[in-house]
Amino acid sequence: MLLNPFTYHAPTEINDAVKLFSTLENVKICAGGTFLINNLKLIKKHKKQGPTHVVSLKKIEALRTISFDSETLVLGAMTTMQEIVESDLIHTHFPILKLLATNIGSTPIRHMATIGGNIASRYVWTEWPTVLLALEAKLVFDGCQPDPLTLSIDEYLNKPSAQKGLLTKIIIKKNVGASINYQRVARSTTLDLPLIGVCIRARLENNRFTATRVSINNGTHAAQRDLMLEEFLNNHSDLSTIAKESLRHRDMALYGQENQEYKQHMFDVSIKKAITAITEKNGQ
Amino acid sequence: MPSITLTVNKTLHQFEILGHETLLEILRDHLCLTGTKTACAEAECGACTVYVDGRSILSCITLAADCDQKHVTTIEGLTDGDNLHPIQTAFLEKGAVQCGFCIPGMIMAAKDLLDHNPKPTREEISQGLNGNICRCAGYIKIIDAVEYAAGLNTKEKNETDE
Repeated sequence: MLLNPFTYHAPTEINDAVKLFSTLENVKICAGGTFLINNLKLIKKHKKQGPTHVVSLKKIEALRTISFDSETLVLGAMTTMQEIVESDLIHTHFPILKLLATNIGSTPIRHMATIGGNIASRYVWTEWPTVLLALEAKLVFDGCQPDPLTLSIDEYLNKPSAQKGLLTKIIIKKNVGASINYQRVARSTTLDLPLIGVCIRARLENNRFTATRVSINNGTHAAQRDLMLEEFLNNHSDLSTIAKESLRHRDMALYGQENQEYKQHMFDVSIKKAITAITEKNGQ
Repeated sequence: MPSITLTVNKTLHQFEILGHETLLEILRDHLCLTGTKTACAEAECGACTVYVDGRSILSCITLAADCDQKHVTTIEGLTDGDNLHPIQTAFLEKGAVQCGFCIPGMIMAAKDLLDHNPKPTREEISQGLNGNICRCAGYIKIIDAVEYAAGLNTKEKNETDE
């Protein structure tokens, strides 16, 4: 056997899943399973105690939806990466999400991995939180007080242990006129996990950045916003120098303190590329 | 103990399983369908790739209980009686098999690719198989075979249309 024994539960309704999750002891939620099942194998390999119960969400159809109502995209937490890749709605309104999903793993992994699992696993190297931070996404949890509880992704990432409810929806409001650019650096273009990620979303009005969000993933902490860089970008008026100048206005505490010249250099390159892409798009 | 119904290679099966059994274990240990390989068992190598309801997945990280009422196709299910699938034929004709351990997974991944992109470029083939590792590093021949299979598929389709 590859896994230690546990009791398997497969609710078909969100309420039943919430009830199981909140009442059972030593319970794990299984979304796509690409992280959890591998972790359970490691637990067995290292002769450690695994969960007593696993609640699979695969049979809850209500968690597997994609909808868009002219300004807001709502993704069910069990939407798979491949469903995001193939969605015409996402392709039309949030092409960045399609690009992001395409980058993830191999085809079989994309058929299994879910956006909810990616976020709720809280692995520091996952890419979705970086982009969702830039997009000001909101997360809906069932089984909390109030029920449902809506949190901004900023709140969620900054309160790692507070959340006990079940992530059911990801809500992203369209910021009309804004441009977004995501840069990732990995050792190869296929399966390697990214070493770093930078996502910048901004609207350009009268040759000035406004409503700018900068999120970074340094590979060692959860995705974070660079508020210093956001402030600089929102206040700098010369688009011809903004990419170069921006490198002097980063919150260096966020980018890793270790002596990692390559990583720092790639952050510089990524930030410049993202800003340049947004300013060039404005010029078209 | 969950009871599940699985249609594997067009044959209906009913099982009493343990909740923690993976699909890979059901296929290999209960049904003796050993074409699906246990290699890394960590979702890294693709040797355990099978189809579930027309989508390729990794059976080593799929709970069997999650596949209740689903249709599973393994490498053994690609043949039509004694006739090999065009991708299997292509791998033989192009000599794409060295030790052969990765080949079932490669062929299942190639099928997924060709089902959705019948005439892929070599770059697209490389991307499409990026979740499958060949420990003999025979990638060039494997890509040749998939490219050849795309031609065979097209030829077969044209003949059927005629």
